[in-house]
Amino acid sequence: MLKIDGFSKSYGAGRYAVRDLTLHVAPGEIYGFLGHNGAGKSTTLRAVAGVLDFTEGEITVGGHSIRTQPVEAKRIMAFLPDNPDLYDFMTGIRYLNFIADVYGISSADRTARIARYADAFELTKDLGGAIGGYSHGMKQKLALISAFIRQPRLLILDEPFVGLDPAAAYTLKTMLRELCDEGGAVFFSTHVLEVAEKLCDKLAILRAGRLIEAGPTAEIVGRSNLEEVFLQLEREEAAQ
Amino acid sequence: MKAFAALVKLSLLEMLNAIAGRGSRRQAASAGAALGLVAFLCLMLSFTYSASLAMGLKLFGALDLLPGMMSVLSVLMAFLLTVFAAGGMLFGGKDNDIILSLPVSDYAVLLCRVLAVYLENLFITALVLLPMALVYCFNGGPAGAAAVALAVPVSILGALPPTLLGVLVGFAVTWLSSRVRHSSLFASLGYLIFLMLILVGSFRMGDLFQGVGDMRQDIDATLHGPLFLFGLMGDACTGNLVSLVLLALVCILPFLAVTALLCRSYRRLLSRMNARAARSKFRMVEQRGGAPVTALLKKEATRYFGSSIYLFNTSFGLVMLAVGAVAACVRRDALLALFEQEFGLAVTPADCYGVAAAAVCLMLATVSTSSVSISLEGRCLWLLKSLPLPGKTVLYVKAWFNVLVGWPLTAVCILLLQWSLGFTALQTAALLFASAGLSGTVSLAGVAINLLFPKLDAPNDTMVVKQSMAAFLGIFGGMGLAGVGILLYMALASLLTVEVYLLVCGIALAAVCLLLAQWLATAGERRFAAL
Repeated sequence: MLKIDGFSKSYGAGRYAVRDLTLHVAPGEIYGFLGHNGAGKSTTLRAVAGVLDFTEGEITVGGHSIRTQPVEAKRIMAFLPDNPDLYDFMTGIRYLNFIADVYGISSADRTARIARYADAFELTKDLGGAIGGYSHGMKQKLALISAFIRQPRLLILDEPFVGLDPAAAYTLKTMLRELCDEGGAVFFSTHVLEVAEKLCDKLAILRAGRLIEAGPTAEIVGRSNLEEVFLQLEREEAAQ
Repeated sequence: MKAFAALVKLSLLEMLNAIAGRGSRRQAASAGAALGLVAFLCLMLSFTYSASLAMGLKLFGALDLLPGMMSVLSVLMAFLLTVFAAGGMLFGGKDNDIILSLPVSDYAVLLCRVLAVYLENLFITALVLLPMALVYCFNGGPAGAAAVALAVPVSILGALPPTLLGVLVGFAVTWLSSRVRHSSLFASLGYLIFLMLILVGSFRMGDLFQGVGDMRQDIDATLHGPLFLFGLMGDACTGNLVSLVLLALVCILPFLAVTALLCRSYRRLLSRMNARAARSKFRMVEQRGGAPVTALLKKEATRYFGSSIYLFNTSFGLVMLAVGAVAACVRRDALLALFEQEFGLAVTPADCYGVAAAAVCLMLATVSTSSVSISLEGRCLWLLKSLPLPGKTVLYVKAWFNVLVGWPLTAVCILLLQWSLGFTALQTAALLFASAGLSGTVSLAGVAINLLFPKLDAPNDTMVVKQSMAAFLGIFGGMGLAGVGILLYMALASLLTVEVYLLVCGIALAAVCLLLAQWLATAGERRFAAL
């Protein structure tokens, strides 16, 4: 579903945010992306989503190159950045309709999907209000609803659990699993290691722009827990 | 005091950033050069206007009225150009949470926010008064060279009243809109009413200054009576130090007192605005679908009509055009008499075609929503870039929206002028064609300018709309384009009629539109992807 091959992103003068990253996300997988602050996770996710320009390496989504076929690639995925900024001047429902229009979702489908996901995230009664008046958590929920109504085959999420109340976090986990059970894939970053350990089929750990560990969650964690493994890896890399 | 100084420094840095951006040094230098050029052109315009006014006044032995009259103009211009910005600068900051959580008084925070409005007003008053003082000196005004030196403190003080008025209007409109449901609509209506009142008042004042020879004493009495502020400014420029001291008192004390009073409700008003949370009880109903391009246009329209600063600052020319067209219909004969008085020529309605065409093009050329459209995406730019739409589609829609805002109303105004002034069918068609070409060019060029000078990290939308480099270039570039067209016609007037010239311009502008559209689809799209 997602293939990242040799992806590198530099900001000039030899400063690389991400260096030579290769990883593949297969259909049906929830793939967790971990790393310290500034490791290059958001850079990678933004490049996959086609929001960040890059020149080294290749990223394909459902067989479409994000560089040469961006429209086709974006059509089958949904991206949410960390702490997403939405259009404050729109109401929630207007924003969802905007997204639905751009993705060509029919009236009947969008009505059903918006109703379903807004109810699931308990945001229905707030959809008539201006986004500018939403709390952070409400904006996060709205952004998630806008992603799910597109029924993407690939969901790219940057710290999706930040700001969500426990009920919404549970709902999100359930929906991510449903999406993958239906053949989709999820690629998301998080700092909440417990969530990553329980939810993800596979993990990739980034440090200073380089991939230091990747593979099935069970293999990486082994008999320990993810927090210990993560910290151990960080120490080993720092020592090198 | 240190905290206040830090806040002031922050405000100044934000303003500098708004103009220069955070691009390369070369880009900042280009931005600075462009700004310098604009300032130079404005100074020349101001100098020319002062000089022609001084010539007229000297004929009636009324040169001493020049400083007072230009003071009226400076304050009025400053107020008109910043009144829409004040509310946004005071209440629209995205860093309010951080700033208000700091250990500084609300008064200090308010003063810092007001500083941005004040500096803009200072720029405008200085732009008017300094050239005036030079002209006054050259024409043998009593104060001589001292008038130029005195124009500096007069400008500094003279910028305070329009700032205070702008702050008061900003507070009033914000207070009102925080209490009603459709707040942006009320804010825009409030500003529109205020603008109309100011325009009517300006025309009345213009009437007063018309017959200078006959009304010299009346003008003098007015400047030292109801309009004493401008009388003080004028007298201070001519070397009257007592007037300068009085001016300082009249400007500074009310400013400090009123802002001190207003700051009591500043935090409360900010909280009230932010607490306009989702109080709605929305119930899901059948949703209607639309096309992607329509969705993008609707988004642009929602942002445009939802922001009074965006609406008025980018479409001020349209308002003036509409007022002018309606005035041409209801007060045609009075306008013709004014025209005759100004230019010394007896004119019929049909003679006004050239002037009307020039006015239409000049006003339309200032309608530049597209030149700030990308910057206004700000931190939401990721949304547009993540959508399954070609970048050029996004850019074209922004230009198209600009055309939709500017040209249809312009076409209506042209038809009104045609009815009032009796243009022929060819004249009307030529003006419609040329104005369409101009609107397209300004719209597409605006997007290109914004791609070259993006400002995605402004602390508030007002700074983007009023103080960013793209905004300057969009509006003044458009005016420059129309101005070049007018000057070119003046050189070619003996060879071509106005309508033929307009048809030729329309064809040339259509070609420019094609070139700009091509650029947007290629290099422009790449720039957009790189943002």
